[in-house]
Amino acid sequence: MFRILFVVIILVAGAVVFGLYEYFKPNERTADLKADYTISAVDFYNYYSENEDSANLKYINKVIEVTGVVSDVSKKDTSSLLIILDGGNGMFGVSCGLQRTGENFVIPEKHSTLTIRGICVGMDMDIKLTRCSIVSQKNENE
Amino acid sequence: MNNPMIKSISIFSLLGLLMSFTFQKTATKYFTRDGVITFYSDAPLEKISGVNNQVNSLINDSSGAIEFTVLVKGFEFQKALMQEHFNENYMESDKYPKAIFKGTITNKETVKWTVDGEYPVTIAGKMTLHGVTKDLTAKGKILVSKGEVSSTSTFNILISDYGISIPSVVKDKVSNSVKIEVAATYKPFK
Repeated sequence: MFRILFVVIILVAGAVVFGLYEYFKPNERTADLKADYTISAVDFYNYYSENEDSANLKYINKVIEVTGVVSDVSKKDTSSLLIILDGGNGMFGVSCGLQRTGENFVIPEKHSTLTIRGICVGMDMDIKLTRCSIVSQKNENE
Repeated sequence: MNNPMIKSISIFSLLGLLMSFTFQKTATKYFTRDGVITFYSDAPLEKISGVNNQVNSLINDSSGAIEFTVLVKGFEFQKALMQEHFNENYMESDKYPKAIFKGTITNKETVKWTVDGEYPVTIAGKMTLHGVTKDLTAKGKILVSKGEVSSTSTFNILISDYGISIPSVVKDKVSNSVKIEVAATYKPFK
């Protein structure tokens, strides 16, 4: 009898711990996730512009590793940095919101080439990626 | 009309008329893709907030038209589970991926777009959220600082107005009244 009670208590405690863990779990760091798709910003933008519906089905909520040329950088405090990778038309492209983890990185310069990993949330003029982290960066004059 | 005084006055007034005409015709559009929308739900047992840093917004200074669009899936939360519930149970973001506000600044003539200052505005229009479109009027500010235009507004909505229902088991954790803060800094759009 005592043994059964003991097992039940252990099970309940385990369930509570698991529940609390799930409840308080933060979003995973994108840098730790494996990329589902690796693509250039220009190809990604062109594909999305031509087939938004099928692109949504294919890419939304997936981890995308995208490489492109920086056309704009805004909100230069690192807590919420937004980097636009050119989609080949000089105006719109892939908008990458950087994950607010306080990671150390050099704020990229315009026209430098970057590889960014993020979660695709759809297209609204730009393709938008959230929770991004910079995988590699090189400046043009290096 | 032979009086040179009258002649010059009429030329000046003609010039003035022409100038005001051209000024009216060259509307400036202001655009941003990095506006921020934050919402707060303060229920007795839980405070929830989500933030979206990739809001598109467009203002036309001559017509006073103002527009915001946001991808619902782009809202970020502190807890992964909140983000999942927000998308799947409440906003149904697969079905309704965008939230849109389209309106006009009702007192646009009081805003001097090229003069630094803080201009209180009232914005009236329609907001589409969760597939439901409702009239919305909000107070806000247009700020012009060193030539840079930005907008801010804070208002409340009832999520039940947008067809979002809160299951009774979580009614102490999710508030029906949600506070929304909007802030955007624009660049002239060519």
